[in-house]
Order: sequence, then C-alpha cells, then structure tokens
Amino acid sequence: MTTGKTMGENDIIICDGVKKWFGDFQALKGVTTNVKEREVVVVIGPSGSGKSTFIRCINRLEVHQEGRIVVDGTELTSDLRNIEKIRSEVGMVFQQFNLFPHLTVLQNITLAPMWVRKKPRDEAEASAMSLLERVGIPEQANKFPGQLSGGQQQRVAIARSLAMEPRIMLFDEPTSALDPEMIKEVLDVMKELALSGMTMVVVTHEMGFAREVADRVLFFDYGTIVEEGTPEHFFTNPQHDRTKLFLSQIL
Amino acid sequence: MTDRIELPEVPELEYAPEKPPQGPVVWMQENLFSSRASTLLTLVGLFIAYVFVKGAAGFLFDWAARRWDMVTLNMRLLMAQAYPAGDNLQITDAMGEPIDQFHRIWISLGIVVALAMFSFVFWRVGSRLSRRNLARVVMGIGGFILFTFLGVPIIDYALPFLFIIGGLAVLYIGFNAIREALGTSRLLGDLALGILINLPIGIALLVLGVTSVDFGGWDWQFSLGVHFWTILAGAVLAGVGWLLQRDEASKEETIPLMGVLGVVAAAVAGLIWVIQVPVPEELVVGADKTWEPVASSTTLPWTIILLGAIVVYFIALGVRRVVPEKTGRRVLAGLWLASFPFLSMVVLRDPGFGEQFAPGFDLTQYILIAVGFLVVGGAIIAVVAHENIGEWLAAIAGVIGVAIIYTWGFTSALFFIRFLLVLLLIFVLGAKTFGSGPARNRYLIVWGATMVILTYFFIIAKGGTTVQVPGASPFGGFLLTLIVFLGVTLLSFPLGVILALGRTSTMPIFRLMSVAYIEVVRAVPLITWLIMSIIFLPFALPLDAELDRILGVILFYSGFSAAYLAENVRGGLQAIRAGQKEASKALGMTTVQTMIFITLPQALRTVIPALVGGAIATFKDTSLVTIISLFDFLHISRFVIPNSTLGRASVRTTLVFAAAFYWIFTFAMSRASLRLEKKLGVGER
Ligand SMILES: Nc1ncnc2c1ncn2[C@@H]1O[C@H](COP(=O)(O)OP(=O)(O)O)[C@@H](O)[C@H]1O
Ligand SMILES: [Mg+2]
Repeated sequence: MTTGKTMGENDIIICDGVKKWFGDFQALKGVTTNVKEREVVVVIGPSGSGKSTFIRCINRLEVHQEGRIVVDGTELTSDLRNIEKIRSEVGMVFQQFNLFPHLTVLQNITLAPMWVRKKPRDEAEASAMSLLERVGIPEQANKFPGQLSGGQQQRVAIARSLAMEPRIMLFDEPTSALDPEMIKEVLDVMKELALSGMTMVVVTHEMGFAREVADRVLFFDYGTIVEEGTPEHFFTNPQHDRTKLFLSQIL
Repeated sequence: MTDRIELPEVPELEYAPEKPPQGPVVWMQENLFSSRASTLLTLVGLFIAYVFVKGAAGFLFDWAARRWDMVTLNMRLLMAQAYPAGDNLQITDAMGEPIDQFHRIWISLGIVVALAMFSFVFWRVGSRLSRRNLARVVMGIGGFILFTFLGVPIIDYALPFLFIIGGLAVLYIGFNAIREALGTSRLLGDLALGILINLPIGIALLVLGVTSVDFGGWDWQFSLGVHFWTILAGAVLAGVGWLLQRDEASKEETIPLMGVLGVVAAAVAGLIWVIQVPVPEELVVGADKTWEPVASSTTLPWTIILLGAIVVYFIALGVRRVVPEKTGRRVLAGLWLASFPFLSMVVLRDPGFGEQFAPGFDLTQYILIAVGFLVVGGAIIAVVAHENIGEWLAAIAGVIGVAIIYTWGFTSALFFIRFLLVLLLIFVLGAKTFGSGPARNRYLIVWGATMVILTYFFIIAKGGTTVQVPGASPFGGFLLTLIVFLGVTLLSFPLGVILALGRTSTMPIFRLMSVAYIEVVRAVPLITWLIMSIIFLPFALPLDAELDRILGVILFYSGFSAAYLAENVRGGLQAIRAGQKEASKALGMTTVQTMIFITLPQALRTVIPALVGGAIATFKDTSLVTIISLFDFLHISRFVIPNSTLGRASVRTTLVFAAAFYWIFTFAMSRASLRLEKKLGVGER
C-alpha cells in the first residue's frame, strides 16, 4: 500500500447486484462491490459505461430499480428520511462544479451546514474559513463563483462538500472541465484528503492520480464492473481484453 | 558557463493615448455627418423630429385653447376625487362641521417619504455623479426646451434673440482670448482685443437685445416675452451644460446624487412659494382672476414634506452610525411590508372604527372569534403535529370538515368563522408534514401570523369606511390608481410565485391545479374579470358595498395578474441548470430548502425585467377599473374635469397632463429595475 494508511474493517458502502434502467436502456447491469472505510476507490471506463450513474446511485441522485445499496448501515429505500440522512453524510463533487452563482463563496459553503446541520452562523463561517484555508483559497471568501478560475471553483466545491463533515466523498470527473494547468491544484487537494483518511469514490481519467492514491481500481464497461484490482495489478498486468484496449487508448 | 537562458526584456506597459477633448463640431462630424448616407439620414431624422415637435409644441403651447389652469385648479380631484376635505360642506360630522380628513393622506405620504429616505441610506442608494453627466443632463434639458419652443413661431422677437445670442458669442470669444493671453503672458494683442473690443461689443449687443424685447407683461397666457425668456433660458442651460462637460476633469465622479436631489427638493420647496398662477374667483366662465401660489392650499404640506425629506435623510445618516446595517435593512423591509395595509387603514379608516360609518359591524365579536381560533386552533395543531398521535389526524380533520359543511348554510355573520375553519383544516392537514419535530414551533408561529393578518384584513373589509361621501364611490383619482396598483402588485407576487412552483412541481395534483388556473384565468379578458368581481363577489363575500368594490377589484385583478407573473417566473425556473438542484440535494437540503435558497432566488433574478414590465403594465391597466364605475385617475381626467362648469374644452389638456403623470411613474419604475438588474448582476454571475 503506497499511502501507508491503515484501513478500517467495515464495509461502509455495500452494492449488491445494482441494476438501473433509463426507460428501456439498461445503464447498470448488476454492479456488486463493497467499499471499506478509509478506502480510496477509483472508477475508470469508457464514456457512457455507467460510471456516473453508479456513483450517483450511491447518494440517490439516481434511483436504482433492482439490487441493494447500503451506505453506512442504512439501506437506500424510498423513505425520505433515510435519503436526507445519507446525503448529509455523503459529499459529492461534480464535473461542472455546480456552485450556486448567486451566493458568495462563503455563503456557498455555509448554507447547508446552517440549514441542514442547524449550525449557528458564527460556527459555520469559522469552519468554512478553515476549509478554505485547507483548499488554499481563503482570500476568495467574499467573491462570487463567477469571479473565480475553474480550479478555484472546484476547490470551493470540495470545501462546500467537506463543510457537511461527510464520511464519504464522491467525485464525478472533478478535473475533466478544467484547463491543464489547473488540474494539479485540484488533484493536490484530493490527495491531501485521501491521506487524511477520507473514504473516497473517484471517477477520473487521471491515471497518475489512480496509481498514486487509489487502493483499488474498478474498470466499468457496458454497465458492469469488468475488472477490479490494485493499481499495480491494473497498470502492469490487466487480465481482460477490454481493459487492455481501454488502457492502451488512454495511456 | 551558466545555463541561464536570456529572457527577452518585457516591454513596459503603455497607456492608450488620451483622446483630446472634442468640440461639438468634431463630434457632429464623426457621429452625424460621417458619410453622405449618414448626413442624409441625420437630416431626414432631424426633419421628422422637427415636424413632430412642432406639432406637439403647437398643441401644447396653444395658449388660447390649452387650459392648464384646469389642471392646477382640479389637482385635488385628480389626486383623490371626493376625499373629504375641510372645505367640502357636504360632508359633516354630527355637529354640522365639515370633516377634514385630507391630513391622513399627507401623513401617509410623509411616512412613505421618511421610509424611503431611511431605505436610501441603509441600502446606500445614490452613487456619485460626474460633473460631465450632470452637465449633460442640464444641456439636454436646455436643448429640449430650445428645440420645443423654437417649434412655435419666433418671428416677433427673432431680432432681439439674435442680438443676445450674438452678444453672448462675442463675449465668449473675448473671454477665451483673454484667458489664453493671460496663460502665456505673451499675446498682448489678444488681451487688448478681448478687453477693448469684444467686451464692449458683447455687452452692447446684450443690452440692445434685452431692451428691445416687448415683454407685454407677465401673464398666465404666456406672452411673447415669456416665450422669449424661455427660449433664452433653454439656450443658456444648453450652453452652460456644454461648457461644464468639456474638460477631462469633469469625468471624475465627485458630486453625490443625494446632494443633487436635496438641492432640487429645496429649490422646489422654495419655488412653490414664489410662483403664482391666476385663479378665477368664482366658478363661472369669464370670472375675475386673482393670483395665488401655484400649489394653492398644498403649499405648506409640500414644503414640509420636501424639507422634511432632507432632514430625515440626515437623521437616517446618524442612525446608520449607531444601528448595524443588516438589522436596519431587516427592520425597514418589515416596515415596508407592513406599510401598505397600515397606510390604507390610515387613509380609509377612522382609528376608532367609527360606529356610524360601519353599521352592524361589531369589532369585539370579530376579535373574540379570532382569539378563540388562534388559541384552540393552535392547540389542535400542536397536538396533531406531535409524533405519536398520527391516527388522530384523520379524525380531527374529519370533524372540522363536517363542521365546515354544516355551517355553510348559515348567514353571512358566520362567514368569518367558516373561513377560519377552512384555514384551520389546511393547517391541521399539513401539520404532520411541515410541523413535526423541531419545526413545530415555527409552524405554530406561521399559523398565528396567518390568523392575525387575515383577521386584520377581514376587519378592514367588514369595518366600512369612514371616508363616506355622497355619490358613487368613496374616493378615486390617483389615490385609487395607486392603491389598486400597490394592492395588485403585492398580492399577485406571492400568488404568482406559488402558481409557478405548482406548475413546475413534480406532484401531479399541484401541477394540474396550477395549469388549470393559469389557462382559465389567462383565457378571459381582464375586463370580464373586473365585471365579475362586482357580480360574483357579493355572493361569495357578503360585505359592505362600496369599499368592497375596490377590494374586489384588487382581489380579482391580483388573481389575473398572478397568472401572467407565474408564466414569467416559470420561464426563470426552467432556465436553471439541473446541476443546481442536484448540488443542493447532494448537500442534504430538502426540496423546500432547495426551492427557497437555490432555485427561486436565481429564477427571480433572471426575470426581473419581465416582472417590472408586468408591474408597469399593471400600473397603466388600472385605468380599466373605470369599466365598473370606479373613478380612477384617467377617468377623472377624461370625464369629471371636462364636465365641470369651467372645464369645458379642457379634455385634451388634462389628458396630456395625465399622460405625463403616468409616464413619470412608469419611467421611474423602469429605471429602478435597471439599477436592480445591475446591482444583482443579472447575466454576469
Ligand atoms: N438521465 C438519463 N436519461 C437517459 N439516459 C441516461 C441518463 N443518464 C445517463 N444515461 C445513459 O446511461 C448511460 C451511462 O451514462 P453515464 O453513467 O453518464 O456514463 P459515464 O459517466 O460512464 O460516461 C449512457 O449511455 C447515457 O446515455
Ligand atoms: Mg460521466
């Protein structure tokens, strides 16, 4: 293990035969995998293979139709209370940042802690500032998202998710909408997060990041996990033909 | 050997060359006469504008036919129609003394102005202007006066006019020569030329011009002398404005806007004491005229309000130093919201709900009913909201439902109770969803607030008005226009937003209801709804006749306007990217929180222009209330004044005045919306 951290024993995310259809089109064809506490899982695979759908099912932005998803001991059902509990424990970072454009950076970060966690404003602002410090942009607190660069916006988005003190973080191609020189600043923040012991599921095409940080890599194709293993196994000795083909295309 | 790479020298930043100040001739060459085609277009445009302005000026300044005196004479009628004033002998109290209630309107206006001043201060409205912009406004006004008045023949005094303009030009050239000579301390010839030749000639021309005008006395009918002076004033304003905006330094934003407004307010307050107009002594044609102040009996109140505004502004500046800005803003927003019901009460009601004006209305009874509902209903809601008593919900709701149906047949005295029962039913049904757990206290507060507000409005509606006059309606004029407009705007906004949310909701029952409402309401002309408001409202709400006509209009009009507003807001809601909702949900926010904090604010921002457009349309369309015999501003301008003894043939004049009056308000609204858009950065962030 290159990161050298100790892994918890508990499975914090359990997916068992998860299936999902959009109309007649089946996007997930029975996905089974477990994520342990403090584990960093990187999901790769060709476009349209169902990676986003998969991680969006984990915080129920998409609703799976068959199979079971259990997050931190709570099964995802249509019970509204379960969903809100899980969403406040699972942070998500989007490809398009999705910051709230009408609120300042600080307001973006404090909104949910104040209204979902019922934190007093002072407390919420203090922890927002320390999070901004952590992602390296405390001086931008009172600007609007539109005034920041892409890399800065994505770091704010990460801080916004962290402000809810989640136990799990989901990343859906967090660097794909960024100019090359900004990718590193976001990846650095993510690496720091992984080292601090956060459980993470990351969809990304950044193979360097996967090699360095991931405990496990999942390769998706046509809505299923085709192959999974440690980064070493993956990049040196892939088994499956489709994996080999994909890796040869992007490396 | 070092491996250093020689970097090329970075060139220093250079600023774009400064543009030299342009004279008007250069400006015109560049902008109006740059090519043969543009010259042609400019000339054609000028000709068309001139034809229009000449026609308009000929109409406006046809002193024999235009009856501006009718506008000033009937100002009170235009503003408030028959609102009881001290000199109306038809409206008396028990002792036979005339009742003067006009002071209520002044007090209301004063409160609004004071609130506005505090808001200006606390929202820091009023940037600094540059001398250039200010001077250009002055120049524009001068140019407009010049252009307009030149539309009327000036033959009678063309010569003196030319003398004076010539004199001014010679003086200007002379002063310029002197200034240059002093600056370089060389051109002695210029200095001599300026002092010895230009000054005397210029002054001589001026004197010649001024003395050769036949003033013909200062008369209301605007003698040629007055006409002449007006043109001269226009020319001077345009000239001074042009001079003040030429130099580069004038671009700096140094003059506070509020200071300029203060000076204007003070000037107006002073001028209304000075300017006088002739007023007929008797209400017959050809009566002798006496001179009276232009604002007649309202001189003192206007002065107090204008000067008061300046004083309050400074007080507010002081208050801002003590009170935190955020707190102040919250309090002010609350006061603004409360001001409409409160002030309509001040304008329409006797503080003691005078018995003689509202027969059969028992205030105590209403308050007792309301308090009973507040307490008992609150207790029921609190019980139902409790976690473990879910089964009781259906039972209690059922009992209330039966009570409603059972009491439906009773007479109007119970209408208030029936209404509150329906309200209670809604709250009980919602208790489990919205009021359980920690939200219970908040839910109870909402119930209490809703009760208080509704009771207040019921009392207003049932209490009759103390402002009784013989005739069709209690008051009219601009006051009515304003009350209908404000009432409709305030009511239709929340209703429209709710409809828009319903229409975009994922819950089919809400969506269906909203769509049905919007499609039905929009498909029927507004006039039809207004007529229905007097035909159907008495059946639905058995209230007292006269005020209810206004109330009914406000309710129906709001319902109509809300349907359009809802469609605008829906557009804004649909323009929001799906990612916004997803991000909000992913943070664990509920659907309602997402709506309040994320989607609605963004949607409303993008539709501000459409909303203000709707408000402006509403403002103008209030004139449709004339269809149900309410005497709004336009109705009085068109029918009431021209039908008075003196007013014959004054219909065109008053209509022009009415148009200008509407324009002032709508223009102000569209400007305010521009500012708001800029401030909220629509389309930028
Ligand atoms: N909301 C949706 N409606 C219909 N089809 C969808 C929707 N979202 C995704 N899909 C389809 O599901 C498949 C998987 O999509 P996605 O999970 O976004 O892939 P990836 O993230 O791996 O590129 C794609 O073929 C896509 O077209
Ligand atoms: Mg994707």
